[in-house]
Amino acid sequence: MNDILTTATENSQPKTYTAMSRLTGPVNAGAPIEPVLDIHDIQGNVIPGFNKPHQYVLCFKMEDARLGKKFLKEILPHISTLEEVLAFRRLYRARKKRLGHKPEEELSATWLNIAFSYECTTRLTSTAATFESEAFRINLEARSPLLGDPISPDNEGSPENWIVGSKDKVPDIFVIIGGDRQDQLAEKVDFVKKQAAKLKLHCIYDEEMNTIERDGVTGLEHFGFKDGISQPGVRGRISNLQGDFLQERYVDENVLPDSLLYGYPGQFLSWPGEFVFGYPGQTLDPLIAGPIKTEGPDWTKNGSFMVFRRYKQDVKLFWKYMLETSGKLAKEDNFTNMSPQKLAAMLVGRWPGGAPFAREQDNDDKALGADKMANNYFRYASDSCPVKMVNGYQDKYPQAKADPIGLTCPMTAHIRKVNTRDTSNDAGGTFASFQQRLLRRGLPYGPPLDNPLDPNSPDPANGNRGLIFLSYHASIENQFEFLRNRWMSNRFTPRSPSGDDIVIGLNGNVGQDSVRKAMVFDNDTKAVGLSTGDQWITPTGGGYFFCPSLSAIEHVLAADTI
Amino acid sequence: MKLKMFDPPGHLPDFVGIPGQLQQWSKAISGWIDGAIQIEQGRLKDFPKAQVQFFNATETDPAGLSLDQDIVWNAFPRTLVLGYGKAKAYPTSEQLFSLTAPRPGLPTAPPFYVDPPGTTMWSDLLYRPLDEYCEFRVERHPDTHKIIRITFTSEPPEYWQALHGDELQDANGNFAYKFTGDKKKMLDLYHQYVSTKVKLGDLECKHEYYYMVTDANGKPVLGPDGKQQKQVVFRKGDYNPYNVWNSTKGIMHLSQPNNFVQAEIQLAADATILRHKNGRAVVQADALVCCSGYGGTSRSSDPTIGASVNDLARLGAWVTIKNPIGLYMHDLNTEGFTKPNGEQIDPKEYFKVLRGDEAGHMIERAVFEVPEKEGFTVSDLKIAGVPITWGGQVAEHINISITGTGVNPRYFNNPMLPCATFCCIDTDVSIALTRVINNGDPIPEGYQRAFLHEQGTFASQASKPTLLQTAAKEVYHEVSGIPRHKRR
Ligand code: HEM
Repeated sequence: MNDILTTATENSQPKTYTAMSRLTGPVNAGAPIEPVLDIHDIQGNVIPGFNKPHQYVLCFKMEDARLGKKFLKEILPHISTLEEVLAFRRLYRARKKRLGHKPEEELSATWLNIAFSYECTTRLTSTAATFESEAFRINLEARSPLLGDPISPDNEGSPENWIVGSKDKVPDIFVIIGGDRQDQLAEKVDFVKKQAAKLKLHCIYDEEMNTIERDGVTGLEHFGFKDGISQPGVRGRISNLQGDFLQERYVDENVLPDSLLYGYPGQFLSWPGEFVFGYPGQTLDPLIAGPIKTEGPDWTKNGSFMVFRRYKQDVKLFWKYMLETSGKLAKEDNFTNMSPQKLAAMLVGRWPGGAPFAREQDNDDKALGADKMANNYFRYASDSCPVKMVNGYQDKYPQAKADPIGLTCPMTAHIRKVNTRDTSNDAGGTFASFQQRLLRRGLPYGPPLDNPLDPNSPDPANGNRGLIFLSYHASIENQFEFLRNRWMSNRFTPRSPSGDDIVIGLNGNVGQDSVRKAMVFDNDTKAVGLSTGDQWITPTGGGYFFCPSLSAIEHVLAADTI
Repeated sequence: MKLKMFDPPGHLPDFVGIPGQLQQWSKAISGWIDGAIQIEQGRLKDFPKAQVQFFNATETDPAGLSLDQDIVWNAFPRTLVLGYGKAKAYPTSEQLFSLTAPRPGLPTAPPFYVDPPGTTMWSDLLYRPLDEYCEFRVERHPDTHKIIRITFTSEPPEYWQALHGDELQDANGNFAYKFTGDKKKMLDLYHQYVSTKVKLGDLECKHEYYYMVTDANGKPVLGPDGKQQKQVVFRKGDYNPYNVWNSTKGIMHLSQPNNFVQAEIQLAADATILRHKNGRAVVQADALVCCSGYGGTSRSSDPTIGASVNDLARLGAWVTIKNPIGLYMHDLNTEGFTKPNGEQIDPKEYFKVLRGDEAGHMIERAVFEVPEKEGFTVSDLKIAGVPITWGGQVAEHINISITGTGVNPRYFNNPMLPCATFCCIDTDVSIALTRVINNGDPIPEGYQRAFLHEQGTFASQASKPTLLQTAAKEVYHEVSGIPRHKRR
């Protein structure tokens, strides 16, 4: 029996992509021509993402635009490009593979990127007036009601009480620095702070972020779930060479259409214009490039919008609910091995170790969670089966079964509320699976709780922990806000039967007391309702920014025009 | 248990008390379903063991696990957004279009009607270009142009034709279901919801509405008498769904020519047919719309309804649309809608459901307006900090839905048919799939074929379904059950 999907007759040699690979995907007849990206002009946290274990956010108010321009000139050489970050990542990966462990002692880098508020761009150039994005122009505080944020002034999450991003605390300039080593990171942060202070950039908010590792699982957020697994693949080449793709493609080229649709198995490829201006976006056929995406001023080419949100997470409250509710479900309904972890996995859509619930319903298979070739490979509309891969990889984990109604992985699960993958949704067909996507670059702040399930576990940080959520895209409205408002806070979309995004959703609807409702099915396909008004997530600030190209900073924003 | 009868959309009460009316409505729905099933049987006729998965709940009771799936989509037309971009889509959505005009957002689609020579009968009729089974009308203050109210409807025109006592057509376009009707009741409803000025005569056809039948190439189709065939759409004296009180002067029910119950039934039935391309199941929603040829490709609704139904069909389930069959506003989400003082609005006060079943999420008519006590207008409200200047800004927060039912999964193991139609794109015109073309038809200039090779197929091939390579030739337009004058 041959259930590995391929139409190939000959057995091609397995290949591995190395640091110098210039052929990283299929170039067969059906493959669309992808644009060459300006890799030296796009900031590196947009694509491919710093992905550093230690990062630092700095938010500044710019007192004087002239001095601000001076600061930009000084900082310009420190800004890391797509090219540098990608080259380093490929080298790092190759080194890690040979060493068998992380090479950070011998190989490390510290990256810096910068972004600007609308207000700030208008002070640096008159051309900023042509920005079209309404959300960017009026900024986060004004958009806050749309995002489910609490509005009552006595709620910590209302803009009234934000740490950053409301009233007189709206930053002009946002700087993010990431590094492999904390000492090097601290040095860079210090440097930037000093330069800024000299030029009357007042630091109104700064915060350190660190990746969390527990029981061998890396990249956890505070609730204890592996994050940053599912990212859209970005189409585009890094040179004129055919097949020199930014995002490596792992499905054998003879497996159609998968080899043309995926980077890693399950990772849909989107046209770069959905994330960076100046490139083609999507059409309703994922393999046909759309028109070039543009935004307002000319100099937005190679730039992106960036959303920053500081979400405080109440880890104890989250697990208290999981403990109590899983106990109740175990007693009253028919679930196999119900536990707090299992209930939480159903509501996130992944186990703490990252294994997709669609593929594994019984235990937290950490190997699956960590395995990039398999941890994002699943569908909801039809059965998945192993595909032939370029590197000879064989997927031995249980495959996901068709689950259009959410009998297995509930539709209310966070990852089903924000990405419908191969299923259709209220926005029409599966277009959103390619267009309404985010390049998520967030990282946790604050120290992790030692034992989240123990309500009495000591907490010297006094609850000060959460996620610095960062996302890059071509549209704040149609990507970040769309997911937040149209899907996460809507009980009936993207598909029904569903519920709110009970884990991350906030429900700002009047008269509903922030109560989120969700629905899961037990083994008898009985619908079991869940509901909570607990504030597991509290927005405590943020802002909407534009992350321009290096050339735009040099020739427009830093230029002496005023 | 078999369903006793089909109820009127949203359990609307107006048929109650009219002799035979409820029974006739059930009969019409049942007949439309049977007509649709017949069409699907035609598609499967080369495969004797195959059985149509779409079923009539008043005639068939497939035992087994039954699962409901609310199929939800957005009320604001994606066709306009994809065709024009948001900024231009809003104003376009509030315009009325002549039935003979080019269709907004669909540059290659032919107009709905062509006037018979020497007449302007269709040109004179106007419709709303809102093709998501929800339509709205915006009323503005004559001087300030501020929005006073936005009225939404999802009521199908058939309901009003029946209430008028007309004879409704069957799946083949023949007049088949004669209703008793109650003209007075109908007029009263117009008086209550639209205007006290409405007169019965305003709502009725002053003459016959018809068109001359042509073939796919535009050549006249001749009847037995050797003359070009004439297809009657409305008889003289019939209810006129495009009447002024449902177009220029008001809104009572759906008017976009594709927004009707029969279309919904046919689409769901068509979507139960399994499709393959080069041996792999076509499941991706947009590719499936192109492959199967049902529905409008650029809408939010049709690709999603079709794919959701097809998902259930691929599980091997019996599939139907849950009674009462209709088209419904499901809910309005007002998160982010604020008053001038910054407070969030309470949807219960601002979105008043006038007809249909609010608790059951089967809303047929609703009005969005500011309660009088507040002393400001809809245009003074903001959504996420942006003032409401167009009805579409509210519409895009409304969900529309129908409920699909899948019964006894794994009962069927039907063959997959090859694609009947395909799509193409001209990215200079729109990023949408703008046209469904019969296999073999040429591609219009400037267009490229969409979903080439197997690109529309995402499904695995783990089980070994039967693939029909040379199914009965499907000439899509000829076998579609949608009366010719209502095809998209
Ligand atoms: C404190 C807040 C949040 C936490 C703790 C959180 C946590 C997670 C986790 C654990 C995953 C699964 C890992 C993965 O697939 O990469 C995930 C995925 C995801 N989250 Fe969140 N999230 C938060 C907020 C948000 C917000 C506000 C959005 C969007 C507006 C969002 C969008 C996504 C998306 C798009 C995915 C990927 C889903 C997929 O492609 O399957 N998240 N998140």
